[in-house]
Amino acid sequence: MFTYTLRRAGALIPVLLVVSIVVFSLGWLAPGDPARIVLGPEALEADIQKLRDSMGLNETLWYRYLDWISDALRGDLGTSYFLNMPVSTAIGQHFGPTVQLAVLTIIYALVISVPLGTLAARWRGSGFDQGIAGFTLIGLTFPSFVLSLILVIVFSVWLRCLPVAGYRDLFSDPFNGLRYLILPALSLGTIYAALITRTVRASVLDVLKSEYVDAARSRGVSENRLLFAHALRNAGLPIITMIGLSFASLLSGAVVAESIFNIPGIGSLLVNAIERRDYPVLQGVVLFLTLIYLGLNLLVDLLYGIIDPRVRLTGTVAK
Amino acid sequence: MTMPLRIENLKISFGRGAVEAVRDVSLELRPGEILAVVGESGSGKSLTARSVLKMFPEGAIVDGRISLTGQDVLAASPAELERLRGEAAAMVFQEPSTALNPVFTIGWQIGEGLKAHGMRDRRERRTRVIELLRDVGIPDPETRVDYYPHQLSGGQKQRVVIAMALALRPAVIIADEPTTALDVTVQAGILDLLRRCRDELGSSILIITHNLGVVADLADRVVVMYQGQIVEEASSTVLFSSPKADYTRRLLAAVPRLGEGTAKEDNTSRKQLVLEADRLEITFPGRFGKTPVPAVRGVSFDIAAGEVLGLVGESGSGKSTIGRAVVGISPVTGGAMKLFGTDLRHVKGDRLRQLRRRVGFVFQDPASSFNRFMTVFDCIAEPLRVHRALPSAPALRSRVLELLEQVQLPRDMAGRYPGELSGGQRQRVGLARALALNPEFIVADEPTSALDVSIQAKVLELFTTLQKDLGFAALFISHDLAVVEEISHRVGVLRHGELLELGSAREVMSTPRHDYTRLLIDSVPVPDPAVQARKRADVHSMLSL
Repeated sequence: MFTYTLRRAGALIPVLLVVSIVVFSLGWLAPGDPARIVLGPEALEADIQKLRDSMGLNETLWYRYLDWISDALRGDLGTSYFLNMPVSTAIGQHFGPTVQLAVLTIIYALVISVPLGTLAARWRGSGFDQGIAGFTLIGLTFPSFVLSLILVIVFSVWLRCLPVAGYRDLFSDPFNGLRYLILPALSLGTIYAALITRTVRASVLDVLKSEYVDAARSRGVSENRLLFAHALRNAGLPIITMIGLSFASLLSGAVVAESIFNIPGIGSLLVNAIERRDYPVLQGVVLFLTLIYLGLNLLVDLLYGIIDPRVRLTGTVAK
Repeated sequence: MTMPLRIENLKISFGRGAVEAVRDVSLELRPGEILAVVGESGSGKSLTARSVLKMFPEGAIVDGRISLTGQDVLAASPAELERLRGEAAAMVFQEPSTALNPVFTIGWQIGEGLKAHGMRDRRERRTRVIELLRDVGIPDPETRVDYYPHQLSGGQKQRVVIAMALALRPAVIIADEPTTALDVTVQAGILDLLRRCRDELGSSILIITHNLGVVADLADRVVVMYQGQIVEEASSTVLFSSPKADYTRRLLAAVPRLGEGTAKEDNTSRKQLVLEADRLEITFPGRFGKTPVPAVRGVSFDIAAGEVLGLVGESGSGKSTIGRAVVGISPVTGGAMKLFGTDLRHVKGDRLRQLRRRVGFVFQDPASSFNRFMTVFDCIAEPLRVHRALPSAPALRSRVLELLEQVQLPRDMAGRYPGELSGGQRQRVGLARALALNPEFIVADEPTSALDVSIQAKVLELFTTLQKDLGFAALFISHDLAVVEEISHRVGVLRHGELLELGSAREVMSTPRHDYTRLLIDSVPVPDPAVQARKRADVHSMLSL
């Protein structure tokens, strides 16, 4: 299991390297001169050149890349052109809200999807199953910004029980923090709930058709136990993959939901950085998100090993 | 007295009665008896067996009465059913690797049945599980109890499945093709174990099989099923010596028998060699951080023009790997493999294509070796098109129709899809596809092992006729000694990637030089109860040596 972990983690290094190069050159390839944007349209050419020098924009690309990546390895992602703070600090400030929203969203999605998907598989073809199919179809196709607006109208405008928009830190003010996050989590989570419900249903159905379930049934194991002990664990691999992917995409920022509900998350940081050609922030955020993404993938791989002994114990086959 | 199992007028149909899979089947399993239900695929034998535990596929309409130790199974409530399953009757499945849940230890899975039937104490359960594993002959059960299924061999897995069935000492054990997925030498051990279950525990056993050798080895009484009906019921000795039903007679005639004098002398001239393997080594690249294990080690043989060489071996012997190396699918890593005098290790690109053109390949499973979205016509025409062998569309068409005729299929098959064909028809199409380019050499990898015996007999007959008429050489790979004996001039025996013995079919089958060959020949159960009983005694003495 240890070598498995090491192997999986080692495989991430080249990916990170490639991503860092791509990210760095993206900023360079994008049109627009940061120095010009910082100084505004009225600036003198000489001032612009001076600023370009001090920003290091006149160095060769390779030199700048090596400089940037060696700093990044030490945790220093440079300083934002606009925010007057180190990029790492900016990421730190904006990542908190995103994580809180992502966790709440995924919890909501799981609470809905795992039981519904499992039961839909159990009663395949029934009215319940068809109802679930309808729900997932709507959940997948309904635009989340429309859903957000409907939720705001119902809960904030008519019922007046939840705030329209804004953000409070969950740790310093748990009650209000939660109240602010409920609507964004509901509007974001519905798509994921629908997606995961479908995955759960399909994989549980697959497992229920396998012979070892029949074999356990022939031993007198009850239907409920078959469903929850045998089927759910074996169906775990595709489900966990789906959850991992969903969570990773939530962490990389729900731009639309963050702007509708005015949450200062990583998504809004990224969008602002792009608009302002704030290269250090742009590069830092993308690199950081790649790391998060890969980290979650690694976690999913390790969970595979825990669920499935064949992954964990390869090479110890008895003769 | 109450019978352990009595089935009366069982009818199972699908699609609102459109398909009648089981028609009016009645049978009785007596205490301490081994009853075999024999039939080919589609005879309804598995459905009948599964109905004993009320395990029907979706959409089945069932009528009749099944009484299991005096209880009506079809009328039982879900709770009663859970109690009957495992306690009154238990099942042994065909494929042990799919009958065990891969993510739980075998101990957990055996214990689960015990727990479901009221054994609550953990330690008591574990002791009982270890005891069961020891009973079914798993070495070192104290350690193995915590193993996962993939850590055991196929034979051991089947022993675990049997241990599960025995867990609650059920009155009836239903074994659905329990040895079909296993090698012959392993099969003998499993059959012995089942016999012990009856002798020592007094279980009654209902065994479902298509293998008449297994029937002769094990069964007291036999029920023969054909198209959902019972066509004959007799004691095992009577059935084999004087079969009454027409179908039974045909079935018995179709079984290839070892040592019936069909083995051919080797009298082909060795002037022109089609294939030469010289100290052939095939090693697949190992996974990261693992030393690769050679699949084939130092194997030397040759095949002369017009000669059929049979390669026999059990799973993992490397026989398929060698066959695939001929067409370049598995890598030759050492020694030499010369096809038509050209070493396969040193040809690439166009030369290799030209060589491949002269070789046909017949795959094991006709169900999966066709693209199911291509018509039979396109399947057969594909090699002709790939090699641009024919100048015009009409020429292509007439060649494909000619091929269909050669494999004795009607012309109108050309427009059908593989999924619409039966297994036997599909394998004929496979043969036609292999013959399309008029190859001088054909590699056939277990071409009949997915087929029923009566169909296998016809396909083998066709193969032999075509081989005589067209004169191609062949490498015929099989695990079935009787099939190889029937079809080949010379036979090679493989084990663990090494060629143990090579000689004319007659030589190898009648006077095997190697002990393993002898064990292999003796492990094949013969469809004759009296002969089989003698043979079994021989194998026992051989194994105890």
